[in-house]
Amino acid sequence: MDMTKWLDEQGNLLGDVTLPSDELLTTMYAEMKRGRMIDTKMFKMQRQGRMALVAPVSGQEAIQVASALVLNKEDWMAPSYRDSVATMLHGMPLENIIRYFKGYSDGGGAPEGVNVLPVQIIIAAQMLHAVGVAFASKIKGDSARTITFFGDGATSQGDFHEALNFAAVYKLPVVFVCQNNQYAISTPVRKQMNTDTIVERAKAYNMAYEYVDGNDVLACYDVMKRAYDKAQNGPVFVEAVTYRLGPHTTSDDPKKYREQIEEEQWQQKDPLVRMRAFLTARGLWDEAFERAIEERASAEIEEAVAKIEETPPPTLADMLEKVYATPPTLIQEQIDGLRGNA
Amino acid sequence: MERVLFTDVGEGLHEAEILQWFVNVGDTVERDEALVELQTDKVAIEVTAPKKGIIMQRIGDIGQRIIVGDTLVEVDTGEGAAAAQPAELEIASKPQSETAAMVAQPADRGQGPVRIKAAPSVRKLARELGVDIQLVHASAAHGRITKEDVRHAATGETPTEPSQKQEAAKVSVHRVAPVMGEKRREKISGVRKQMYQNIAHSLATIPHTTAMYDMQVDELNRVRKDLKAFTEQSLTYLPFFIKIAVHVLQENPIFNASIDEENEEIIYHENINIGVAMATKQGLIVPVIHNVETLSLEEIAAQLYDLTERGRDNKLSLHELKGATFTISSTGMRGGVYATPVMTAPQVAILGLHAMAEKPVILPDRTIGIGTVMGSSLSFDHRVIDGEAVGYFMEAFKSYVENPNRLLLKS
Repeated sequence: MDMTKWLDEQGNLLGDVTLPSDELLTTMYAEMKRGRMIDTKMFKMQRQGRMALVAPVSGQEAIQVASALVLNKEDWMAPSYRDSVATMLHGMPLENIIRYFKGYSDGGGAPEGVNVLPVQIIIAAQMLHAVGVAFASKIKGDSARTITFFGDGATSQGDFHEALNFAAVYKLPVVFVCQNNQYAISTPVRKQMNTDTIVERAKAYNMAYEYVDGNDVLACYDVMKRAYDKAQNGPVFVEAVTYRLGPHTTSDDPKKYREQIEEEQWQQKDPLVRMRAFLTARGLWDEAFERAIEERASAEIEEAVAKIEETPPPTLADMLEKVYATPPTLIQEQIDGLRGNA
Repeated sequence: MERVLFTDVGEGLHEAEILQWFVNVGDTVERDEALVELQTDKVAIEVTAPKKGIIMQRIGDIGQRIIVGDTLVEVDTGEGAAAAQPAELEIASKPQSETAAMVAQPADRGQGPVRIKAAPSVRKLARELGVDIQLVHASAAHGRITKEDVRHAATGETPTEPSQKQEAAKVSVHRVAPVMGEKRREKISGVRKQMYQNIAHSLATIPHTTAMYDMQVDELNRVRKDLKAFTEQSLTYLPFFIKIAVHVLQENPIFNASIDEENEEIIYHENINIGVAMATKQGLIVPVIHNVETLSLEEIAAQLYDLTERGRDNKLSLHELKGATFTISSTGMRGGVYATPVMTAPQVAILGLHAMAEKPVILPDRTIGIGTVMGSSLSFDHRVIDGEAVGYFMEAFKSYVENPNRLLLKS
């Protein structure tokens, strides 16, 4: 299986390619950096007791930024819990993302017009949701495509097979993006599957596929653009080979199952470092540019955090309001009781 | 005033041990700057400051156990009430304590009933017995209602205070027979606790054998003094010994190996990572210089200096304390003439370098003269290393020490 690569680990171009505009190149980097900063901040806030649980995304920014950049506003996104870089870029407000990881019941919903489904915690279930949304698009005859993210661990679930099979049979406009970050919590890929790659399974469904270096944002953008175009006529499977630099969640300690040396080897492949080297060589990156991104993102984060911490958290009753359009009597009684109107 | 609490980091872990402090009372911290590192049963976590301010109070010392809800530090952010005098915080172990009461507040906020901490089985029992769980007094730590509490509520009895009988029983089990003239007790914790466990483990599982040699260091000292004129770096003997060890290890790869006990295999290492044993106030630590074979003498000296400084201040990262493939323990002037150093599993050898002293030696012209002699001891795992190999190792080491110009031929 040939892997699509544009940049080597030092950020040198590997072939004769037509590059996107300078503006798009710098946007890619800026969005990855912004995602990294938000991630770092949320992790620290969790340790300060200001967040419930955080699933760090650091290391996986390239494929997420590239995926979001190829989408149009009317396209749908069905994320898992480690996809906030992509969902933000597709319109999800930072405030909602922080509220979600604070454990607020209202954090999952997207504002009207932002086509992002609530974060799916159940492994691989969002793949089925994506298939459902894509099926709806097909029935309605609109041009929206649906993209869904999942990890290597999700590919061992039954939902994975069901989603792929259904999408292939009905030729649905959906892009399945597998972020192979090497670990299903603590289980390494080699202990989880008997295939060398994940993407080779696409063949079994007679599905178009792409195999890409998930830490190379240029290659990711290239394959995602192609996948997006192909998805018009049926599903596409993308395997992006990447690495979760941090723990699985804030209650995980990867030192218990990963070698330090392995982590260091992957740090050399950090998508941000690579892209920065590439931009620097082209004269598109300097310290001032970096500082500008940092200041902008930092101000954005502080503003969002301050706003959230000034507003009261949702009440217990609010949680029940989101379950039914018209709550059944039993639920309504509980809501009334919790609101003190019993 | 901002209190930073130790919060539940997830998955039901309620306790942690303080691993290290990054701040002292009176320090000014920036927002998101590291305050303390804690170790739960699952993970080491670093807690950072939510706001900029001055540390007014700090909980506990390294090694102490704390529970969720304890206030880690109090930060004077320049807002709100007047600052208290800097002091150490109490560790809250009872729910009645001030800190725990404060923790309970957020849960009480808002409409609806007060949040009750009780397991589903306890709630079920309350329903069965017709007891309103909201009115049950929680006797256990952390304010959690137990089945016992529910039964007491049902029968109208007042629960006994956190059973003193049990406490007394526990104490009598753990207390050792009184010793006359006991002055004070000191908790074995933190770095000392690791030594306490690791050294016992190493000695119990690895058959240690030690070879001892004398080495004359006059020539090395001359070279060292000469080189001092050409470098800003402080140049002690140790960087030379490390440099020499690199060459000797390359010539004798079995000493730069480790044992995979499970598979009964010897793993030969490509890179040479030398651990340097170092005494600190907290106990013995062994910072590691990684890939020493790629470093010049000057670079080794610089790294060694940096590790020593930060080791003294307890500022080394975990990475800098891990991954050694060979260890050198330089005991200096107060370390005795020879010793029997203890290996760190899974390494297979450790080199002890000891006091230097003037002694009668045989000079090159076969007369007796005065030389500066250093004792050295190599402990090795005799299961995988033979005495003959040790001879080669130590002879080579001695040869480099006594003819330091040999280093010019290498690297």
